[in-house]
Amino acid sequence: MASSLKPDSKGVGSSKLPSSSSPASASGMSSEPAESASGSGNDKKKKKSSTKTAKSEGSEGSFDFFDGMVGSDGAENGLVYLNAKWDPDDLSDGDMMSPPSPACVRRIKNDILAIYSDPPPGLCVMPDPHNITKIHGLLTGPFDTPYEGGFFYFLIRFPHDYPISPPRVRLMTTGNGTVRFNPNLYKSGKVCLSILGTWAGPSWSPAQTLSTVLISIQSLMNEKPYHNEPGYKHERTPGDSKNYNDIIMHETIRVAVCDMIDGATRMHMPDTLRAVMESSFPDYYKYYVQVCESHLHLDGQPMNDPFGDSRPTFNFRQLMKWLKTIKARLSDNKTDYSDSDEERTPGQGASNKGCRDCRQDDNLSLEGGAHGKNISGASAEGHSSNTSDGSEGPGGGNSNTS
Amino acid sequence: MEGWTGVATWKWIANDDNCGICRMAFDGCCPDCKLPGDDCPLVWGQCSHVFHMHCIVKWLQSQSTNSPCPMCRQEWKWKAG
Repeated sequence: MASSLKPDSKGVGSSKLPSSSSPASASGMSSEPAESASGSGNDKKKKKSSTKTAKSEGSEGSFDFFDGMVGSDGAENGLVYLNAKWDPDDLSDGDMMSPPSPACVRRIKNDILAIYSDPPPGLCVMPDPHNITKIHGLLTGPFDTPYEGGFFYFLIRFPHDYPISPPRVRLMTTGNGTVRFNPNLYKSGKVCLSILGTWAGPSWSPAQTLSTVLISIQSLMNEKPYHNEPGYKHERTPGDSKNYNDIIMHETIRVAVCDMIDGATRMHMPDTLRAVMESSFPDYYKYYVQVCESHLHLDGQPMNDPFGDSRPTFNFRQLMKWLKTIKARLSDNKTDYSDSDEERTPGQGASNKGCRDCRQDDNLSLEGGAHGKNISGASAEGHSSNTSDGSEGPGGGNSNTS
Repeated sequence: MEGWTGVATWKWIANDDNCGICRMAFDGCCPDCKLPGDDCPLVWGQCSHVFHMHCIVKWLQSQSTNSPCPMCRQEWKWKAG
């Protein structure tokens, strides 16, 4: 994933929206378009409030975000947003539990194929083998940002009436719920993005796709994430922004690199995505070490988070050791992945390589038709798609991320 | 010649190939229909964006207050005629 890739988009929707999702029961593979099944979107579910989310948001301090952003009538809207469902694993409402309509399934497959046929830089997706409405996504931190070289794993669930309602997205790379990577990426995994309905601003539109959602999230990971926080357009204390970047760089290597590679199994990450990380790691290794070496002077100091989040103490020396251990282990296991002997240039091609892997896994299913419910098909099954009519384009031009 | 059978083709005149909502081709129908044609018509907004009628109606019905065009976010207004 590393490759070329700097997302050129920037600053997309500024808000956060919760989405909900849940592992659906539905095997999600219904095939024939049935005229009856149209999931008409209803917004009522979105407004339903769940105490659970409200609470967790409160603890994230999101109420502060609204200060100075919205006026008093905005506050009411704010509450609606705050109560919006965002968690892909939240089973408490029917949105996620009802089986997706055939139209929804076709649209999801279309979205996935569009990514396979024209993979955006640093972005890789993998449908769940058992449930087409559940997608595993891996974003690589963009170049020239404090997220560079990090592996950010997302779980995405499509509601039964997608694309009328937005997908629900959760960041899984949070160091077990302890690290907030960005003013918009909470430690709970909530992604604050207006197009997802988790924040104020341009809201979801059914012209958005899986690809535009992921690119929007990628654009949150920018050069100076400090300023993503509403009300922090200017530094409150000189040096805040750089200080925040140092923290994010440390945490990226600690949590989004080392802990991701060591903890992929714990997170139930699909093997394909794990392979992408492991094959990208050597490309970035030099960069990781460079970051550590140039920040050794910070070791022992507490990370003073400008937003008051509690953080550990800088320890780049220990990160270097951890990186070295991982590198040694990966090179021992090299033969595990068929492409491990390919020559790599730093920062090049890793991500696309990974996506190529994904595609290889399911190329069969892309030919269409096979909607089998047999779980035996393991990885291929999730991709079965009957898009053989091939009419759908990559859906480029239509995204109006805002 | 004993007889002949006329054949004709038709095409929607749209400024894009795919519906921005369902992403299916305009030459085909929306995912809820089986046959393209009069039963699954295309409709235009005043903003000039075009969708399968079934798709845009689903979207408009899901919106409680304002109903933006999915492509340009302007308020959706049906284009007459």
